[in-house]
Amino acid sequence: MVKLASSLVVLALLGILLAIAAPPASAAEYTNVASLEPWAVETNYMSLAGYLRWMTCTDQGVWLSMAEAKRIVAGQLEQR
Amino acid sequence: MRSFLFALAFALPLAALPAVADASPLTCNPLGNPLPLIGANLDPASLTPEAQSAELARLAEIGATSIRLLLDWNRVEPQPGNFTWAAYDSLVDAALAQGLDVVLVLGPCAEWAVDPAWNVPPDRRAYSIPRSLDLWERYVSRAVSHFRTRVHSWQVRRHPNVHYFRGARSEYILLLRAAAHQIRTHDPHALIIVPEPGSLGLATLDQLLHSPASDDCDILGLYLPAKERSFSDAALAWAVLAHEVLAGSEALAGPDLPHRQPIWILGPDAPTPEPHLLAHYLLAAAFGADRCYLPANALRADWLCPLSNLRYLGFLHLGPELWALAFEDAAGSVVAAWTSDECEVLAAAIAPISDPDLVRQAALLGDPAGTAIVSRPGDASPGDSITLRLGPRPALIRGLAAGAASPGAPTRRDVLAARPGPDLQRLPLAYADYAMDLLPEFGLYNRSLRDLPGGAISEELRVGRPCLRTHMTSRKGEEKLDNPYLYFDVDDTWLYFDRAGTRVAITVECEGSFRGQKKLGFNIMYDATTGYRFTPWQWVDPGYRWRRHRIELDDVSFANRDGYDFRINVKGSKQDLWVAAVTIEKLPPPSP
Repeated sequence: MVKLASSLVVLALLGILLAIAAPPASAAEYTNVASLEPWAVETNYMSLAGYLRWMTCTDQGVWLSMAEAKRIVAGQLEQR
Repeated sequence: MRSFLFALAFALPLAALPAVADASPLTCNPLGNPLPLIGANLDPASLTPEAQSAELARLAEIGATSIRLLLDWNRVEPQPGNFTWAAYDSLVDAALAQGLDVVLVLGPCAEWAVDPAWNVPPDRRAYSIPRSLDLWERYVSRAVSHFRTRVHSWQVRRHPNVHYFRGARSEYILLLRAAAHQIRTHDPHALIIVPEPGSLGLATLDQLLHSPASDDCDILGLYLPAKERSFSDAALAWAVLAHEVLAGSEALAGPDLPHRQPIWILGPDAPTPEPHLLAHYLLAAAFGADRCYLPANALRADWLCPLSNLRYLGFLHLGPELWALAFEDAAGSVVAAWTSDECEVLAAAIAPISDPDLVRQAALLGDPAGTAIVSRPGDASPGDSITLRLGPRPALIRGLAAGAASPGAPTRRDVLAARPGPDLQRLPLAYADYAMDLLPEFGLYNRSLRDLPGGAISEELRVGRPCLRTHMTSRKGEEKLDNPYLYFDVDDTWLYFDRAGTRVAITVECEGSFRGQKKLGFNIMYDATTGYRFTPWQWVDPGYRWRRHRIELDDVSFANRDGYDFRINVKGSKQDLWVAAVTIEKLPPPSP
């Protein structure tokens, strides 16, 4: 039972690692989230910065710090 | 409904939809255009001073005309205010002594200039931005002043995309404008190269050329697409860029430049096998690129020398399997041909044979030991049956009648006409309906896109109907394993980078929520003229029946920006979405 559980954990970790390490879709720009409603379903109930951070990681495999994401979102909101 | 859609697709009279403008051949690519000048991307840190001299001499000897170097801010200003140019002076001087022009790339960011409050990981600080514009301006000002008499081409940052630039587009523009001001102050005749984010992003390039920042751009810098992108996709982007985007913009024509928009290839987007580099170089020649920078270690005499003195004439084949471009030099015509996969091709299928003996000398570019000719025992075959073994590495073939080539750079129509399948441009709609056994995807494709991030959805039966199903986990901490996206690519013949702003309506037919109100919904992220945009969130009502959600859009670009045109996003829902069909239709323009 313990062996099975640890195997499942290893598999789950491997899956997460593969998801993080997946090659990027392309050399793209940051998704513009300025038109979305923060803390709502369309941002998966995250802030705009949090959602940008999550999307950039999922789509491109790049982790931004929260401070960076906030700065980028501020730039996008200014340009809206 | 399904049979109605099928009939609609084929039986409707072809509406007189406005055709894409048939652009006239570019004045920037007349017959007999020379191939792009070759430059080398060099990394000074990887070469000792002795090795630098030898390498520069080698590059000059084999025909390179220029080198491109990253002027690492960290190396020239290791501490604030302390500049040192020793790492670059000798290399720049040695390059000039060999007759090589020098392009310097401003950046990456000095690590000490990054605001610690941004919490940028130490190994990524070089890709960040300086905390103050003053620091950047000082670095640029000192660099241009120091190299003013030796260097006259400056690129602003290497690659303004997610991987190499941790800032918003507006922040890049600020850096660009500040750098341009400093460059022009110290060297009014310098050229400023603005790089694209990558992957021949048409919408981004179009935006740049129509923005105030275009005043600061003398040269448009492009990157060769990654190996995974097909030649046909790349050729289509090139054709639209060259004939439509650049042709419509006067922004880059300067007083000292010929009346056309110069394009420099700055290198490959990602590590690329040599055969693909060579093929993309030849393709870039067809579209009038002026210079092409490749990694220094990819530049060799065995492929540069055969291409020297060639001038581009026109195109013979634009895929999908066989590509053939026609060139000429003093000795006569030369056809460069390659195929996506290894295969045998009759030489006569490429172009009429004018001299069989010359055709039999066909050789693979950059592979002196290789031959493109398939030899058969006792082969004294007449010219008509000469067989070539082609693959991704281009072969150079003399003895073919290149007069059959269509002159000039291929247009959008030329590239699309070479693709298999019908031309869907005049059809009012395209669909993906997985209950249609014969043709589930007509002009709208998902099956080829399920390797994209978060797009590993499945086809399953739902109430007896084949559907696309997302896969979302409800377990906390495992959100990274979610697959909430249904990616779609619209057939390029139906709609591709339409700057006229065709209005479309996307209809999603899906099953109702079985978890109640506000538990299931989606929005659509789509490739728009101003970047990716989102539609408003659509809640799917509960109930075990099929529901249709129709969304109208008036700013679609659909230029395959990241390999897709739009995606249905379900993230945020409490259950999976089952999609039976997606249709997209062109709408008439709004009445005035």
